[in-house]
Amino acid sequence: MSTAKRFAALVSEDLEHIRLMCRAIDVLILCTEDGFNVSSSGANEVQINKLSAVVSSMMSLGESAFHVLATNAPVANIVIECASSKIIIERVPYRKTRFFLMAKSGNVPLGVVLVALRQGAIAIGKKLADFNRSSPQGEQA
Amino acid sequence: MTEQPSSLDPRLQRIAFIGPFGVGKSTAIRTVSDISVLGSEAEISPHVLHDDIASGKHLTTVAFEYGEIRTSDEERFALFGLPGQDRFEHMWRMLIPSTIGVVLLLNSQDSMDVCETWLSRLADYAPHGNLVIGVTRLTQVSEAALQPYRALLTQHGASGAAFAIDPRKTEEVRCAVIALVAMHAWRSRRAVTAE
Repeated sequence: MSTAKRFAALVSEDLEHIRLMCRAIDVLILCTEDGFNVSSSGANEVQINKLSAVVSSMMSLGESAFHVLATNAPVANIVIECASSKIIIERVPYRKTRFFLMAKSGNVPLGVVLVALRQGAIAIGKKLADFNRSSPQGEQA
Repeated sequence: MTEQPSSLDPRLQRIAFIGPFGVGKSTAIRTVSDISVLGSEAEISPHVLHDDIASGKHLTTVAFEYGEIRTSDEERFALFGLPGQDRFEHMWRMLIPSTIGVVLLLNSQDSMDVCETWLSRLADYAPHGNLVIGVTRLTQVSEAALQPYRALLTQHGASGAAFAIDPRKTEEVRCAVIALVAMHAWRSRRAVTAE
């Protein structure tokens, strides 16, 4: 199994756990900083690939907005709301490579989704670190 | 250093730089911009996580680069450098229709199929038809080397121009921008005359 597939399999249970913690979340996508999907839940393949690229653009634009305002720090999250849904993008706390976790939820309080997503992101960040330690040289994510 | 507001004109006209991954779009914008460029580069993720081409590059544009250029006392333009990979098609769709023209950078080492693909795409995204092809990495600059690009432009019914460009050279990038602006001005005048 390729490293990408092993890693995707490793975090898929974390994605399902997030959806269990907040049942209003119907789509979850974990992607890289440069817009590639790593793992997902609740979306079809076309949606997954498009959303992974859109998420990386959005996080980068968020960072650019702060940069223009002379605040240079990594963006922690982005929230988008419409009448019936929310999209939240959360940065996975992991130092080596940047990953983003995106959730789309129904109309529930923002805090409920944020807490579930943040806890999930922390768990994935820890798993990434463990995965990296156990991977052979040159296969690191 | 505090930069002055770039323009009092909210209709600052836009020019897009587009082309394949790694061709030199970001370099071209940084070379020619009069302001410090606002970037949106992300680190290329480890190749084991995806199948993107191994390019030796460490950064890639994921949204757009923003710069500005003054071409005369009265005219200045916003420059948008767009990502080259297909997955960022949403950025092309969002920005190209709002531009007055497109500088398409192409690597001379790539086959003409690449040029064909980009011209077909731009027919969808850039209905204004103002297009300049900048051919990079030409070992010998000659009319003959540029002829295939001009022929393809004609085949696609586009009346653009093709130049040899080194994205690191200010005058060469600037020349492409000025050609595009002239093309836009000429078409606008012709449209007014036709009315």
